[in-house]
Amino acid sequence: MAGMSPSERRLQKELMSLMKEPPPGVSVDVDLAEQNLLQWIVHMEGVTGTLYEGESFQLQFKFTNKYPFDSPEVTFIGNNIPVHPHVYSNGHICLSILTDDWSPALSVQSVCLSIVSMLSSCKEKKRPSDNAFYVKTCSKNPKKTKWWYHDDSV
Amino acid sequence: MPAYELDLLLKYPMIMQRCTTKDEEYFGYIKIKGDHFKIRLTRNMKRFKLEMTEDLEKYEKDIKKLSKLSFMDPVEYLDKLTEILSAESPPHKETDDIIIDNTSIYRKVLREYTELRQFYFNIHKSFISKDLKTIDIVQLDEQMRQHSVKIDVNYSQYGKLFKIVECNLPLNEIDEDDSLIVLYEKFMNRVDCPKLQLMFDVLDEIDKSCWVIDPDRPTRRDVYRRIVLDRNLSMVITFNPNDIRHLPQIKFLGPHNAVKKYNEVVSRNFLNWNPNEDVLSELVKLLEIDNFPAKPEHSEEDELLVNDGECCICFSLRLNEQLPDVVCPNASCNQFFHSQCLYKWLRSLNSRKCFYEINGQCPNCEKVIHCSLPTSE
Repeated sequence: MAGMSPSERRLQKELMSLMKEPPPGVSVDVDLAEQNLLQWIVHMEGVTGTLYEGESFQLQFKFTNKYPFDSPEVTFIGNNIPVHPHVYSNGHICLSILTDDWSPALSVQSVCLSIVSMLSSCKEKKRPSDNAFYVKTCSKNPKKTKWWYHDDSV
Repeated sequence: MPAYELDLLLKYPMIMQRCTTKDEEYFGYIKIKGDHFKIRLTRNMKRFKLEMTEDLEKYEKDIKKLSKLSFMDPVEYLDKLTEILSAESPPHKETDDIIIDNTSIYRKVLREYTELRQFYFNIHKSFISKDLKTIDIVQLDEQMRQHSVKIDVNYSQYGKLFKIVECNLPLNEIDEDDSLIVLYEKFMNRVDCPKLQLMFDVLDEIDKSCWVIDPDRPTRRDVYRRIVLDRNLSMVITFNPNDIRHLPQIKFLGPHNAVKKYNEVVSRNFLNWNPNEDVLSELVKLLEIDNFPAKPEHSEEDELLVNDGECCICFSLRLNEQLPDVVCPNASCNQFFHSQCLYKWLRSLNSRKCFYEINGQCPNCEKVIHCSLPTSE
C-alpha cells in the first residue's frame, strides 16, 4: 500500500471489503475498478419479495481524489433504470446522503445499502413527477443538481 | 620518443596524442586567458589541419593561413595557434576556478579512519563513503543491542573535523572533535551510560511483553510507547531518559468513560510508585490490571472495513506516521479520527472555529465533536 495517497488507500480497502463481503445482492466489477480506482461499476439485484424482484441494475460510482471528503457521484446506468419515485429516467438518484448529507464516515457499502433499502421500501413503481422536465434540463452530473428531497417515506 | 612529446606534455597538458595507421591526431583543450578551446588537430607529414569549432570561427582566416604553412611538430603549431588566439581574444575576466586542495584533509581523514579500525578492531560494522565525507559506524553494547552513528567530515577548514550528525540515542547532543577515535569514544560512553542502558532494558521488556502499536518499529531513540490496554483503549507512556525509574508520563486514548476511569485509577495509585522496583510490574500495579494484553496473532483474513482504533475517515491506522488521536465523546459512537482528517472535514463544512479548536458534528453519529487544529497546518 506504499506510495498511495490516503484517498487511494481508502478506495483500495473499500474495494477489497466489497469484494470479500458484499451486502446481499450487490457485487462490484473488480477488474474494472482495479484498472481505474476512481470509477466503479456495481451490480445490484432486486430483493426478493419487493417490486424489483428478478430485476438487475447497474450503478456507476465516480470518485474524485478528494474522496472521502467529497461525495461519490452515483448514478444508475445501462438499459434497466429502476422505475422509482426517486430515480429519474436518466439514472440520477435523489438521495440526500449522496449530496447534502454526505459524511466521510459513509462508504460505498453504506451507499449501496441505502439504495437497496430505498428500492425495497417502494410501494408503487413510478417515475418522479418532474421526470420529463428534469431529464431535459439537468446537468450531466447529479451532484450539480440542487435537490429538493421529496419525502423520507420511500 | 620524439623530443617534442615532453614539450607537448609540459606546455599543453590537456592535449592527447593518438596515432592511427594513416596519420597522427592531437585532441583535447588548450587554455588561453582563462578560456578553454577545444582542439582536434590532424597531422599529415608537416602539414597540420585544425577542425573548426564554434569557438574558433572568429579566427578562421588566420587558422586557414596556418594550414598552408609547414611545421616541424605539433608544439610548434600549437605555439603559433596560441599566438593567434591570444592576440585576438578579448581581455578575459580572470575566472579561473579556484581549486581547493583538500589532499591533506583527505589524508588525515583516511589515517584517522584506519587508526580507528585498527584500535577498535571489534567494531560491528563501519563504512566510509567514497567521497570521504561521511562515516557510518554500528556497534553493539554489552546486551548485543545495535547502536549506529553517522559522522560527517567537515572540509570547510573552520571548526572541528568530525561531527556526529545522526545517532539513534535519545537526547541527541551535537558532538564534534578533531579526532575520530575521541569522538567514537564519546559516543560509546553515552551508549554505555548506565541510565540509558537501564532505559533500553525497560523498553526492550515492554516491546517483548506488551502490544505496542506505536512506534511501528521502535528505534533506540524512541522514548515513548503506545500500548493497547483494551479493545479501543490504549495508553502512551513517555519516559524521561535521564530518569527512567520514576513515574513516566502517561496519557490514555480511547472512549471517554474508559479514559476517565483509568485517570482516576492512576491518580489514586501514583503515590505508591516505587522507583526501586521493576518498571513494568510497577506499571501493572499503577493501573490495577493483571497484566498487559499480548499482541494477538494477526490474521489478515477477517479484516473489517474499519478496524478497532482506525480512523473513521481515511479508514486506516497510520496517516503520515500518526495514529488516530481524537475520539468521539458520544459514548455510543466512540469512533476514532486523525485530527488531520477530522479537521479537514469540519473545515470543509465551515464549522465554528474557536481559538485552537474547531467544533462540528461527528461524521459518524452527528453529535458534537471537538478537534484541535493540527500542528502541521
